[in-house]
Amino acid sequence: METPKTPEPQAQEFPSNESESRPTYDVDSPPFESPAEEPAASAVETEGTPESAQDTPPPEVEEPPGRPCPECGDLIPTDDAFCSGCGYTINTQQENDKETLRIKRELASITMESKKSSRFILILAVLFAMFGTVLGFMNKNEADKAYKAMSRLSESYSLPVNGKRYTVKELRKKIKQEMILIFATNYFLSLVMFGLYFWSRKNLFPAIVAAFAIYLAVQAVNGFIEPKTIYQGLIFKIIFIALFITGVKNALKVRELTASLAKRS
Amino acid sequence: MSTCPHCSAPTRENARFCGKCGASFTGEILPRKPRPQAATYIQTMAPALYLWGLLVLSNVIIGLYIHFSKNTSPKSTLALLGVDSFLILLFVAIKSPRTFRLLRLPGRIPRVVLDVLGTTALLFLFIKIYSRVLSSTGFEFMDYLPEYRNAGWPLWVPFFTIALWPALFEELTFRGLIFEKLSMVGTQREAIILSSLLFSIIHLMPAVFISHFIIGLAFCNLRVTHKSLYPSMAAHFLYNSTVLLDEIVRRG
Repeated sequence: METPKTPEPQAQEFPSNESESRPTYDVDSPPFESPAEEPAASAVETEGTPESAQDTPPPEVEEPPGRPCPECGDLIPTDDAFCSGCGYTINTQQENDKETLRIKRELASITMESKKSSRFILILAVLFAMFGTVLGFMNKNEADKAYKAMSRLSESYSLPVNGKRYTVKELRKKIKQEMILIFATNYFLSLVMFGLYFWSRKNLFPAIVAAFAIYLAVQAVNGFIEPKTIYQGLIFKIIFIALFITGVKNALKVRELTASLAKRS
Repeated sequence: MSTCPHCSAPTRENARFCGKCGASFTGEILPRKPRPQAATYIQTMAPALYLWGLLVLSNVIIGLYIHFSKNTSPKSTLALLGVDSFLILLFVAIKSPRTFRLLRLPGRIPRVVLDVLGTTALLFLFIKIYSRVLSSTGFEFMDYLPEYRNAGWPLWVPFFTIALWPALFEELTFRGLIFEKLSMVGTQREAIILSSLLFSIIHLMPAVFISHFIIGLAFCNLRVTHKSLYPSMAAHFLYNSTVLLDEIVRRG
């Protein structure tokens, strides 16, 4: 692990912990003292070792054994809060509690947020059902017209459709199948989404990934069948995809925070 | 022995920071806050989901190209294979090099052979029944070979482009990268279910959504029991080949 070169990125990365990790001299000491302090400190360190050895009472016995610093490996005495080699901050109990509390708060707020994603899956289920009903009945009207048009033809008469020839009997069967297929597919999708909604209330991550994947697949398959459906309602599609992505992110965040809470306790 | 100029606690000879108050003696900037550097779950999952999305996108683009250009030459299939396998290798090499470790010979070879053959046979039986049932309800199953026949390509080509190549790369993606990332953020059961689901959906054919989900489960089972990608690759290749052979036998 490399030592940080500038303080700024660190501060940006962990803004909430900034005040905790800052040594007390930054906060407590009067500002006019600190500039003078640092050259003095380095002076003591570079030239003044023999002097200070005379001034101060005889050195204590060898440093009491402590734990190795997780950052640089130096031994840290048990009652020290910082590593004297690299300045690493040792977590104290109090700090640990603070961090746990922070995680709990974040978890609570993200859990609230992720309930929206769960509801979004429910909305999709309803939309699929409504869409299927509307599309199905629109198709039924078309089918009725086609039936009427074919009513005067004999069953063995053949018609060209999309470059192929079908007999009237085959066409009737095909029209009926398509009608059933439209209702069946959409209601099936709606049912799947309802299922995923109930799953998402227990376990959001797999449910929302599955819902997202199914949604994309439906759009892609529709696009294959009728390419112009790709840009129909494009704004809604983009909004839906954005909602899915936030949902997946929140679900992962919930998992991560739950796991780190479990590790702490 | 020196003292800290700030809190006057005794410090070590060559200390650069005070152990009690954390003040810096050398003017160095602040130490880092201790924090695990492990990737977050979002960072872990992102490559898998992005790769999946890109594969869907490439499938859709090539599919639309075929739709509009009325070009049924197998060359477009080859282009799709090229793009997809490039994407897969790129993602696995950069984002999940650990996946390559799964490319190792499994132990207990006789057991593996038995498992692979058994899985293939069961899946073939399953797909026969499944396609029989579904085609009676009006779903149309696509034939793979006509585009090769029409273009006058020899019939060993589809065994390469439809059986072998996808077997290698789909296993690397779904039982490799995606499975691994999913099991890093959740349980193994979830990884099995979700990777199979993503595997079935990537085919973008409504008729095979359910069957390929079950096929994905079977391949996941091979990967989990043998902790290697080779058995599932072999089973995938054998299964695809039997489907092609079956088509040749059926259509003459």
